[in-house]
Amino acid sequence: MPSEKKSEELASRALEVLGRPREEFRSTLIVTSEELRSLLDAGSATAEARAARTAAELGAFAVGHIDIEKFSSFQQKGAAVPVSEAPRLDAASRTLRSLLELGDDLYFVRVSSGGDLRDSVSHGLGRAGRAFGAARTVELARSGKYDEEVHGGWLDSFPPSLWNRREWELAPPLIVEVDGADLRPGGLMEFLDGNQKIVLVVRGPAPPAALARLITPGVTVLQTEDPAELSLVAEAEGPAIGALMPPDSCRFVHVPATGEGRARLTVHHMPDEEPKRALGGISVFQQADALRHLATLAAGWGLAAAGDVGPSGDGASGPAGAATAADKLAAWILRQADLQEAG
Amino acid sequence: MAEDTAVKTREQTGRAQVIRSTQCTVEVVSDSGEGAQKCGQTFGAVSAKMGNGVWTVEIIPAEIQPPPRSPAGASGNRIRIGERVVTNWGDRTNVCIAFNEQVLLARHRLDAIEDDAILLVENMWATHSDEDIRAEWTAAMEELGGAGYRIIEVPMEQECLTVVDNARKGKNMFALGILCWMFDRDMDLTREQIAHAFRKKAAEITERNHQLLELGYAWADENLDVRIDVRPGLSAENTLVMNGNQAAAFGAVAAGMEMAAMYPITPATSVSHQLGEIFYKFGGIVHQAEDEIAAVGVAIGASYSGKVAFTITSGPGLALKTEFLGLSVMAEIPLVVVDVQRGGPSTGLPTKVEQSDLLAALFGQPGDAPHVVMAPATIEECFHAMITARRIAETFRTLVVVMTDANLATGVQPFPRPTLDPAWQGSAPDMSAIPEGKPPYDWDEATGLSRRFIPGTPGGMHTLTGLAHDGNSRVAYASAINQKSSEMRSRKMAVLQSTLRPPEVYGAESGDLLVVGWGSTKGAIEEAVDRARAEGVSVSSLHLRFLSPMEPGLKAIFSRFKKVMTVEINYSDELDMPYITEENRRRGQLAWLLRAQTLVDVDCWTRVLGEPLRPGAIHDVIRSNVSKGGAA
Repeated sequence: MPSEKKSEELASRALEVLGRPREEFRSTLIVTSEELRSLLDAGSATAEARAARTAAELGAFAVGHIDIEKFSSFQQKGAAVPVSEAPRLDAASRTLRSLLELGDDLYFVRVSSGGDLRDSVSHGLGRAGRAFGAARTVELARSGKYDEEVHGGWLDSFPPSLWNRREWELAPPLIVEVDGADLRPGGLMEFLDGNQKIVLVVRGPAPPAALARLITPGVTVLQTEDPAELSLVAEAEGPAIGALMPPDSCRFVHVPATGEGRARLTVHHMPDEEPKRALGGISVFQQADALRHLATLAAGWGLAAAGDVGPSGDGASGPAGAATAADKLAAWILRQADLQEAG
Repeated sequence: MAEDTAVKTREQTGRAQVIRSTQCTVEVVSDSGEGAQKCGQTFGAVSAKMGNGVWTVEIIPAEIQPPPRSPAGASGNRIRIGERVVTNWGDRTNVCIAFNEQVLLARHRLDAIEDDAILLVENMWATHSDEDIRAEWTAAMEELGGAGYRIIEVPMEQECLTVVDNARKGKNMFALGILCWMFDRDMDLTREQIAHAFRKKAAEITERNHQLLELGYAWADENLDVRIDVRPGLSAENTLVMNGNQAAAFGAVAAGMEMAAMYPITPATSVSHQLGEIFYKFGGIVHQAEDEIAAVGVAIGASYSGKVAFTITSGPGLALKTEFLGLSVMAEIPLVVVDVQRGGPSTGLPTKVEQSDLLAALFGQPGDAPHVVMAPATIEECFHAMITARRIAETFRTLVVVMTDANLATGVQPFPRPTLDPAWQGSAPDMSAIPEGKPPYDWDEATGLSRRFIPGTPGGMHTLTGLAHDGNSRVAYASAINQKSSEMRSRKMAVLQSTLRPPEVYGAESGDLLVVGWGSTKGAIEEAVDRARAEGVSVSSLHLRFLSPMEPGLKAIFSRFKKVMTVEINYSDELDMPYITEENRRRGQLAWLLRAQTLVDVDCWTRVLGEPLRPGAIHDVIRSNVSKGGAA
C-alpha cells in the first residue's frame, strides 16, 4: 500500500503534468479578476485616476509620444456600475481573488477514507467553479438581471450542473486522492464533459479495472502506474480522466482521438490474478465485472499493439502479437463467463 | 547613446597580444545548415548575459538550401558587441570565422570586412580531393590575401572529427570555442546557453556540443596569439535578450491579446512560433489559417466578438489582406496588424530587410480607409508597441498597423526586463445593457467616436455590414450618408493626432541638417549623428513612431534646420541619374509623406541593399550634405 508520502508525490507529479490545463484556468481567473477590478475602478475613478489608469494601459511606448490626459478624455468611461450593484461586484471580485490565493490547492481534492468520490469531485469543481459564478454574477448585475433568489449562492459554490458549454470548455482540472476501496468512478460520468480533466491518485488496493466503466466514445480514459503517462489526459481533446493505480492493476488507455474501433483502446496489462476479496463496499463480482467489461470492449474492438492480454499476460506487440492476444482474450472471456463448454 | 567607432589599445600578455577595444564586430559564416547561426546567436547571448552591449543580425540566403560553397549561399550571424549599449550592426566586421573560403569571399566582396580584420577559415578545402575545389581555394585566398587581412587557417574538420563522425554538425560549436577564447567569454555561461539551445534534444547532444566547445577553446589556446578584450560595462541583471519577433510575441501576451491569426511568411513567422510555445499558458490561441486573407478575416471576426485579436504578416501578405483591412476600418472593428517588412515587390527578398511597405500600409486599402500606422524603433519597443497598439485600436475602434522589419525581427539585443502591469490587459469590454434606440454607430459629432457593440450585449443587436452605412449600420443608399460616415472615420485620426506629442529632436534643436528616420534605422542614424557632431558638424535627427496620424509640430521643427532629409531602407532616385529630375524623382517613402504633410522640401537618402544601413554610410551622407547643401 503506497504511503501517504508516496501518494503526495504522485499527486504532485500529476499537478506538474496537468500544467497546461491548470495554466489555462489560472490565466482565465487572472484576466477575469483584472477586468473586474478595472471595471470597479472605472466606475468610481476621478479624472486623475482615469488618466493614471490610461497611462498604465498605454504602456511605455506611449511615454513621450502621447499626451495621456488628452487620450484619457477620449476613452469610453464605461457604463457606471449602479450603486446598488457595487457590493455584489465587490463580492465577486473578492471571490476571484480568494480563488487565486488558493494557488495549486484549488486543483486538489482529498476523499477521506470511506468518503464519496462523486460528492468530493462535485465539491472540488463547485469550489473552482465559483470563478464562473463570479463572472456571471458580474454580467447579471451590470445588465440589471441579477436575482438574489436565483443567483444568490453562486459565489459560495457553482457546481458543474450549472455550467454552460463555454464554462465546460474552460473547466478547471482536478486531482483527487482517493482510497482504492472508495474507487467507485461510475458517478463521475456526469463531470466528463467539455474540456474537463480529472486525475485520480489511488491509495492502497483497488478494483483492478475500475475506470473501464467510464469508457464511452468521447472520453479519454487512462489507467496507469506512471505519472508521465498522464500527459495523455492533459493533452486530450475533450473530457479525460486518468487514474494512478497500485501495481498489478489493469493498464489501459482509451483515446477517442485516435479514430474508430481498434485503435482507440490499448490494453497494456491485465492483472495476474482475478479479484478475490471485496474492497470496502465493492464486491468481487463488481470488480470482476469491470474486468470483463474491459476485456469485452478490447476484444470487440480488437487490440492495438496490446501484447498478451488476459490474466498473467504482459507481452508481445505488433499485428501478429495482437491477433494472438485477441484469441487469448476471447478464450479468457469464455472462461470467465463459464461458457467454454456451451460452445 | 550609441557606441561610436572603436577605441583600441594593444598589450602583450604572455604569448598572446591583447587588443583592448570599446567595441568589436564578429561574423560567423557558413553554408546553410552548418549551424553558423547557432554559433553566432550563442556568442551574442553569452556576451549580453555577461553585460556587453550586443546587436546581432542574421545573414540569411534567400534560398532555403542554396548550393554548398557558393558565395550567394553565405549563412550566419553578425554580432556587434560593445562596452556600452549597441544600437545597430555597425559598419564592417573585425573578426570573421568562415567554414569555407567561398562564403568568406562573399563577405569580402560585399565590403563587409574591416581592412585589418582577423579572418579564421576552415582549411580542409586546400587539400580537398576535388581539383576544382582546390583551385577555388587558391583563387579565393589570392583575392583575400591581396586585401591586407590577417588570415588564419583552422583545421576545423580535422579537429572536430576527433569528437564527432560528421564534422559538418560540429564545426559551429568548435568555432564558438575559438570565439570564447578570443573574447574571454564565461565558459560556464556558455555551457548553460548551449544546454538551453539544445534543451529539446537528447542529453548526449548537449554533451557532445560541450566537448566541441572545449575542443575549440583548447585549440585556440594552443594556436592563436591574439585576444580581444571588450569589457562588459553594463549590468546584465534584469535584462532580457531576444529578437524583435520574440519581443512582439511577448508584447502581445502582455497586452492581453487572446488570438493571433496568421499564415506563415518570412520574416514574420517566428512571432507565431514564439506564441505557439507560450500563448496557451495565458489562454491565447494561435490560429494558422489557410491563407493570409483567411487569417485577417479570423482576427476581425474574433475582435468583433469581443476578443483581442491580431494578425502578423509581411509585405506580400499585407497586400493580400487589403480588402479585409478596409472592412476593419469601415465596420470600426479594432484590429492590430504586425507587418514585419521584407524586401522587394512580389515575393522579393524574403530574408532581407527593407522599409518599402510604408505607403502600402498607409494607402493600400480600397476606398478611403483612415487608420493608424506606428513603427517601433528598437527591439524593446517591439514589446511595448503591442500594448499601445491594442489600446489605440480599442479606444478608436480602428485598425492599427505596427511596422517592424527583418532587421528588428531577427536582430537580438538585451533590454531591461519590463515590469509587467496587469493594466496592460485592459479594461473589461463594456457589455452593459444598451439604452433603447442607441445606434451601433452613435458617432460623436466632434470626435467620430462611438461605443463598441459586442455581440451578446443586451439591446445591441444589429446587422453588421462592410458596405457604407449609416449610424444604425444600415446600408447607405442616400448619397449624404457615405460623406457623413467617411467624415466620422477620418475625424478619429485627427482626434488621435491631437493626443500625440511633437517628436523629440536628437541633438541640437536647430542647425544645418536634420535627419529624419523611422523604424529600425534609429540606432544607425543616431550613431552617425554622434560621429558627425563629434567632428563639429551641425546635424540632429528625429525618429518618428507614428506615421499615421503623423506626429504634430513637424513643420515648426523642420523650419529650424537649413536642410531636412530622410534616411530610409527603401528605393529612391538620385538627381545625378539619367532622366531623373526634381519633377520626376521618386523619393523615399517617408520623404514623400513629409513633403505632402509639411510642404517642406524634404530630401532623402535611401538604400535597398538587402541589409541594415551602416552608420558609417549615413555619416558620409551627413558630411556630404552639410558641406554641399545643408548649409546652403
